[in-house]
Amino acid sequence: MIDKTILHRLFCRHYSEMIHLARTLLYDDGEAEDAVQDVFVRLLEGDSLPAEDKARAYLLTAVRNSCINRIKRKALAEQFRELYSLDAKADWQHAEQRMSMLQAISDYAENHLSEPHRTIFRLRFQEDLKLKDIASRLGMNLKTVFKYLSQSIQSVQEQFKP
Amino acid sequence: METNPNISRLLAMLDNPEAYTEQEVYDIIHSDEETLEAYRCMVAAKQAYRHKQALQPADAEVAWQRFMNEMQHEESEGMKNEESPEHDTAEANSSSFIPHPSFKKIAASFIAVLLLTGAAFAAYHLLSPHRSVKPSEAVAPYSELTTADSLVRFTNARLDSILTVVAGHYGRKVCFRDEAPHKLRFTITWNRRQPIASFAGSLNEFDGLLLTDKHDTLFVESVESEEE
Repeated sequence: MIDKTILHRLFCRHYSEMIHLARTLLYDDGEAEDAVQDVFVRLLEGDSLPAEDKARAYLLTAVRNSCINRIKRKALAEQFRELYSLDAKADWQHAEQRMSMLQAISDYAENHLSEPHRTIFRLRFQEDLKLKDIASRLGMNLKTVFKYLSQSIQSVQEQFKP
Repeated sequence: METNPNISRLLAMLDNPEAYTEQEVYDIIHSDEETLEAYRCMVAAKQAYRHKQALQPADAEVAWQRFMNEMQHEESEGMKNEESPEHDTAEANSSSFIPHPSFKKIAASFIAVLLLTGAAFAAYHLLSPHRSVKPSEAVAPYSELTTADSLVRFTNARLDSILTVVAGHYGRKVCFRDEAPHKLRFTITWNRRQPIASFAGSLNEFDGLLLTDKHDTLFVESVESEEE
């Protein structure tokens, strides 16, 4: 029988990190909440809890896998439309490294891309606007938006080549 | 700097993915290494912005209350968990498949027939591990509901039998990546006029099961557990 007091403590201690990871992977707050809850449902229904010194690694791995399972269940077209990772397990093998890289990418996009690349990059990947809507908003030709976005992607790729 | 035309196709597809088949989506993403890397970069870009947005503090105590309320609600709905704790380990993929609790949640919720997209009906029957199962069925027990609507109904048929019929219709081979899904049984109505992605999507609604259509093969697998 699981001690709910201990489970509560684990939940409160690690929830922030878990929900942060789930939101980063799933993009949707509701789905992220469900993914985190799924992990604790399994713990509640099991017969043991991870040791305190291993709990953080255990819970972050569990929520990562919960998110991966949710992504895998979506059709490929939806995965693509929403820009979900096609191989999240490999991408997130080392979660802390991945988080650092993501922080660095957003810093690079904000501080090192020149205009209009920076705005187009942000409108596409932060606000999820379609390219034709970006073109309309910025009063640009669609082909021009394509060109600038391609250049931005290449620039980020060059900067973060492994 | 010349842009790879495949990357241009990728960006065009991103604006209108519904205009492409699943196979086309897959082929364009994987058309060459540069295009695949461009896709990975776009994923990282989106995750980077979400990572930044997600840094807002979360109220764990409020979230705990929500969690406990959900659990109490489910208990009062009579959803009993009979799952053995071993299910969440490698034994989940053994031939003595023990039903996952989420299957039971779905079964309890879908006790009547459930209308899915395209007029497909499914009711999920749980298989007790102690009940003897016919090792195979030469032909899935199915009947045509109406020829005009191209509806075919499978009644308590094994998944492997169902997929033999369905995959054959779409010209696909079937590949089970592990043993457990073979023996799952479904009562489901299939609309032959729908694309295979719709049928696969319907079955993918069931927790623990994943069908993927790739390279003329329908891959079937149990999804990985949430613990390592």
